[in-house]
Amino acid sequence: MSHELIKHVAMAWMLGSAMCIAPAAADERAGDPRRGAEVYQRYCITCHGERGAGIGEFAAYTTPKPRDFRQGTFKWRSTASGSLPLVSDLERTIRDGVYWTAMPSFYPLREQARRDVIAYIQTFSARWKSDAPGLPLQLAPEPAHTPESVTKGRAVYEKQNCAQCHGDRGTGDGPAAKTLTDDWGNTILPFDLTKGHMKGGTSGADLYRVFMTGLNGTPMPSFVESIAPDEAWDLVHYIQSLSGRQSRSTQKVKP
Amino acid sequence: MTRNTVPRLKWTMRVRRVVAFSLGIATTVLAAPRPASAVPAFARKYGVRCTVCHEAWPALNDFGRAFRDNGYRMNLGKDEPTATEPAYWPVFAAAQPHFGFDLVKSHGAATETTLERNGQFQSGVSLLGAIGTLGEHASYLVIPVASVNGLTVGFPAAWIRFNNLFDTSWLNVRVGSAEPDLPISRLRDLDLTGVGLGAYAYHTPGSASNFDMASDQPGLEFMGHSRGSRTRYSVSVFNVSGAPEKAAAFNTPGVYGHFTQKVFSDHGALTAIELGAFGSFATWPVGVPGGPVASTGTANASPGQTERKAAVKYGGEVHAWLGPDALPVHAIFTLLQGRDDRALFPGGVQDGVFNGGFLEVIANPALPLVIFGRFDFVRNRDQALPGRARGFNDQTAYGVGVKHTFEFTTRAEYALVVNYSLSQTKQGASDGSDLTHHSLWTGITFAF
Repeated sequence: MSHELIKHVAMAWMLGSAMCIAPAAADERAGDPRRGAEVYQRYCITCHGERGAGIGEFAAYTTPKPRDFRQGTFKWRSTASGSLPLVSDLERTIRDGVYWTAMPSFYPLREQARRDVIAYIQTFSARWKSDAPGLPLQLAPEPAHTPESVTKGRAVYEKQNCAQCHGDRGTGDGPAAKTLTDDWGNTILPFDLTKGHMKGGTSGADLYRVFMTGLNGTPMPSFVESIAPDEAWDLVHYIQSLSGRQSRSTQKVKP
Repeated sequence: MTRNTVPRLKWTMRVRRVVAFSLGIATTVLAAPRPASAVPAFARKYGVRCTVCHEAWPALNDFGRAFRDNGYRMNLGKDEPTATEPAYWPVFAAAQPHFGFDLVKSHGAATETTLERNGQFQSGVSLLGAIGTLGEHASYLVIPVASVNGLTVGFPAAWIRFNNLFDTSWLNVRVGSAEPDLPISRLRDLDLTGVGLGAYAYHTPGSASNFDMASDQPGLEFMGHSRGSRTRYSVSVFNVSGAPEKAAAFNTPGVYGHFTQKVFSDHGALTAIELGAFGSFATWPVGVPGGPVASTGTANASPGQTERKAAVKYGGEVHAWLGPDALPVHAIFTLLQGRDDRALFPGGVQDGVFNGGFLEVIANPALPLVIFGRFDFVRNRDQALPGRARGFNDQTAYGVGVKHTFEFTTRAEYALVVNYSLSQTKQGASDGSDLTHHSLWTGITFAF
């Protein structure tokens, strides 16, 4: 009898410990906007502002400008151009930050806290009630990073007229570079592809996603209709070659 | 208890007052919050306000700790001096004008004697420093100017840190004088009365060693961490701060280590737990000819011979975070044991051993409001000197406080703090009676 009791207590303890420590499946967890408001007040308000308009006290001093959440327009997505991002897209941006900008990585926060603040951000735009996020882009498997692939990628770069904005050498100084503005009327410069570290992530998949879905609110369009998946990977390899980077699909940013 | 102020000779009272006042000053100097507690220079550089890095300024939250562990860098291409506006200067200043009141009493068998009743406006800790990055792989801190209540003090706070050696966050090396990585940083202590965290500095009565785990220690720190600093280690190798010099080529070596592991929880009110272990081994010279402390101390050292004997401390900690992520209740329980070699005691017959620790709770019901409280204790287990009662010099302290920040921006912050503490020392008075010390701190802290 006492052995049974000990066994049950031990099992209950193990189960309780597992429930306490093991995270639930990410997709099952919804954010709590009320809690998210607290997270937003603590971490986000100086740039994105009290009402999510992107005009916090530091906004005037940083370029690019902080996201105005009221339009429901987001750059870093895995969904089709013009559509809302997935929660996981927003979570990735908050978790990893946006390189070369004032948006830091909030990886140290608990994942639920990031989900909560996403739920709160979604209250700033009615789009989140009327529209559903788009379907996520299906990534083709990455072929080997070879000199041939890089050469083909250069051809894609020329064919798609990327140099118009990013310049012939990818340094962001194309003929149209100084004329570009975003949807909010702010001057925006094409990214210097030779800098090595991309804004939206370090992996080849991150880069692939950018030109296949575009950056909503900016002049960077989606090329999903004009670039085949294998060409897209060639272009990834070419762009990586501009900075001497190889494909680093599994590498993550350290905060 | 009957209150009976015993008439004494005037000069005796003066001496006591001077001693008590000196002790108060010394305690304030040693224990007062010091540099790097809050750094608006970072707020200006990165466009964040203090709440981003501080659970309750100056105590760090997870984000702030990861930022610190990364060498005060966000690691997103905007850290280097050349990435900031030329006009940006990584300088910060802080001050704490306040009214402080101290009441020290001894409690004899039938008498209670007031040793000190002292209330005055004071400037508190004022400092001017610079902190930032020198390049992609180097960070620094310099505190050239600091004072406590108007008295200039020599904070030896200056270091350079080489970040991510061999391209890994698991190896960072800091050179210079800095506080070791403690369960609760004294530099970031919310309590401003200077009472508490006594176990860090404690030694069994009579020990020559003056090693204070929470003091800045000049030497090297090897530190590493996982992404987000959920797993961390720190090993410091140093010359024990304040030890008499002239002992050896590598004078009074010490080592301190700390390891922590944090785990998040997604169930119930408990959102995270962190477990940690720490320990220090700090030598102190004995038998130093002309040494300022050891010459009075070591009965067991051979005449003219220099030896180094160790004071060891080791312990563990548990942190628990409850409630909302952004407004948590943070509880910290730390338990440690200290052992001083008997050679550190003149006339010592055995090692001096004590147990100590603290339980601290920080509640953050709203962003501008912080309520904190702490219970501290030190209990002697083995007295090194013969004839001493086991509980001689046992210490207990309680502290509570409220901090309300009026404004926090990316440029500055200022807050009202009301803080009270009570410490009790068994047989701590010169006549062998128990000692109590009430301390009130109320004033403004600000930084810009």
